[in-house]
Amino acid sequence: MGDVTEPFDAIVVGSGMTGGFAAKELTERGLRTLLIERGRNVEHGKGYVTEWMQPWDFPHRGRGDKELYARDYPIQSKNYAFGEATKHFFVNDREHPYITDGEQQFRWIRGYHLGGRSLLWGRACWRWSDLDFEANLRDGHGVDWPIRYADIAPWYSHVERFVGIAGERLGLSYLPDGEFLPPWELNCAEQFVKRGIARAFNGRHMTITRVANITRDHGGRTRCQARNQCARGCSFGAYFSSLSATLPAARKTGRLTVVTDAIVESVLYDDRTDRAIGVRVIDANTKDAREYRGRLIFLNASTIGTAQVLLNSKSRRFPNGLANSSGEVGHNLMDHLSKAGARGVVPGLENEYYFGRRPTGAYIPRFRNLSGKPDSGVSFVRGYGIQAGAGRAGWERGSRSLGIGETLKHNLREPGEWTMSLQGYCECLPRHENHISLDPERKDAWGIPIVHIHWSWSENERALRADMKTQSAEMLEAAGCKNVQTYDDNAPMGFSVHEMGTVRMGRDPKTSVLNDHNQAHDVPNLFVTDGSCMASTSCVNPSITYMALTARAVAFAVEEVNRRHL
Amino acid sequence: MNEPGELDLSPEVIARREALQRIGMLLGLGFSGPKLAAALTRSIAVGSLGTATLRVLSPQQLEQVATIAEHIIPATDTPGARGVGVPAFVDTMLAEYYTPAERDELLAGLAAVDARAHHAYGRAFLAIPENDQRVLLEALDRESLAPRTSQDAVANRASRETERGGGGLVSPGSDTSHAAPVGASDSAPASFRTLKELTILGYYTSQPGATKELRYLQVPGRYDSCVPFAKIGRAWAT
Repeated sequence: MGDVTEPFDAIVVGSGMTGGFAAKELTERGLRTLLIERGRNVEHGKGYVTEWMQPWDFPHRGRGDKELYARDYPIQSKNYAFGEATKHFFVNDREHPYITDGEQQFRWIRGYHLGGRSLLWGRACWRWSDLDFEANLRDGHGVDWPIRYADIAPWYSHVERFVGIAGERLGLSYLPDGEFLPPWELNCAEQFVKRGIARAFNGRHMTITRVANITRDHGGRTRCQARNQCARGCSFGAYFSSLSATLPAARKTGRLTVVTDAIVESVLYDDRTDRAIGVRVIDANTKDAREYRGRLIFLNASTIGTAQVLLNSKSRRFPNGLANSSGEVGHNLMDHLSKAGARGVVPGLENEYYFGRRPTGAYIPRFRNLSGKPDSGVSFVRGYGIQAGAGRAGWERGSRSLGIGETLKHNLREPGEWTMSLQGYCECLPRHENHISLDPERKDAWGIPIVHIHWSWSENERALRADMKTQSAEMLEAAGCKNVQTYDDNAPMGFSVHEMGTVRMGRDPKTSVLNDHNQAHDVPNLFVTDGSCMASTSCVNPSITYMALTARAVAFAVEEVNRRHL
Repeated sequence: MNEPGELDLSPEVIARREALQRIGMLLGLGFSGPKLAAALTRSIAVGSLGTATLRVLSPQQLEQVATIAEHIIPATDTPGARGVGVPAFVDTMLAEYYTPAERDELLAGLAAVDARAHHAYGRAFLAIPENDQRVLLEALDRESLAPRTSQDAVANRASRETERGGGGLVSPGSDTSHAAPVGASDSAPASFRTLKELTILGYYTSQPGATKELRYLQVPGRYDSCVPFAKIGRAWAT
């Protein structure tokens, strides 16, 4: 586990998607690194306690414990990955309260354990393009990104080669290709709809999702076995997580120290040297406080968690929170608006089926406002992508259909009709008023001020949502689907688990917290590379961009250390 | 046919339960429901009959559930609902999943099914011939799917859950619209619907249901996107 001589060369707070990547890059570049995780230890393989359970091994056959969920998991249980097989990878809402004053409860989905939400993520990996990096500058929302695609492109390649991403090359300027393993494939019904959409709409493409489930053995990990139960954990290491990939790589260097069950309460700052000097942690079990010293601090505690730590790190120089001379820490909270779209029945194809459980779906890349300006007849800026998928109805339909006895049993021996669903994910504008603050009075069980989340959707997100419903239905109809219906779950912020913002990058220290290398404008040895660094959201799944920014920031930080600038 | 830990419903065991119930009554212990279940647990635990426990249903109710479940998914060339342990699963769900109010509603529904049998045939449900049971249950099936406000709410929920990839495991019991006051005679269709869903859920997620009746592979090992159905032969259980 490496030695524990302090100060560490680097301290990383959080072991999820970006904390794991930061630890890997820092240790591989020679830095003795302490990785701090607030939750419990989970061991790759051994810690996946439900991985080998069969459907009949679950006492409630997947339905879980309704009263327990209502009492302890009212928020977490709304997440699609939550269930009888995965509950232990989600926090107990009662033990980890927060306050919302939005239209509805903000859905803050969390996993407090080694690996964090990298165990639970959806695994879709799309590069951003300059359509995204130039968006704020172009339409005036938020602040201009301090980087462009050319700055991050090599870092996308760097992380993609390590992560292992199965994907189809499309040659689209606004959704750049990357370093791909062979793609997964669309099933028969998806191919049918894809052809229909291509016939009816110029410039709308359907592809298979680019996904971090490896289709070839890769980097010592075994190719995906098509079980589609990733959130239970995968001892094949077939999908990328901190536990399957980055932490083993970091451990291999001999320079990694991991501490779990340690909640970072604040970052320690020395105004004499103008540097962050370490962190103060509260032991999750004993509630005792202790400190760790380090020369570089990387905050990767998640968008809301990182902002909470900074706001709670008060000093004479930073009375409103560390690195917060701009006043922007905690502000500009964003999340993709999703859970709205359309579905329809794909006619025919009764003799077609599939083998195995593909761990991902289809995708229709953004097709709105691709010139950067609103298309004619469109009332919103930015755009949305559509996650899609088709499958044949299973035995579950039996309880919704008439009939009992041998006929029912016989009918359910065969799969039912094909249904295709389209779900939009729309870009969310950065707005100062969407923010988190610390409650002045209420503290959690560890004495840390509770987060207060203030949020609302803007008119732009509402307009995007309306359009993605209509367009989804029109595409399905044009493709020849029957019984096409739109749907809208009226999702609150947080539902997509793509929360971003709160510690944004920017060019101007007066309006942003981080510079073009994720380095705090105010505190040179403090870096923030989780979702909180994002100045806008694009409409694509964000994790691979966080990882690329992380690797890029580490390379910069280590160079600065080697040049004795830090 | 029984899986380890599943309830044995052999005539021998049922006879033992009935004997215990009679003993309980004789001794004035008023054994019923949970108390009887506790006594049975102790009794079975000291015997060689496994770990079967009854937690909500009385032996009589268990037999009624088993009979209804077997009508819904009967044994054919593969086991039926009774043979794969659906009755014990229903008991578990009533004990651990449903709220007390929902549990009571379902138990009232079982009584209402009995009341219907008495009304139509002059005898309890379990005492009427299989064909008459079947006619009664088919009527309940039709009634339970007839459009009603609460049923629409359930159907909407179902489609949303399918959308989310939730597998469409719909629980009418979790829909508060079902808590709307209903007359005793009206609780039969709603309870039947709950039992039908639990039967189908319990059956197709059981080992025989998933692997003998349908197809299931824990580790498919690969994904083939377009395969003729004939090559698979049955629907995938998951």
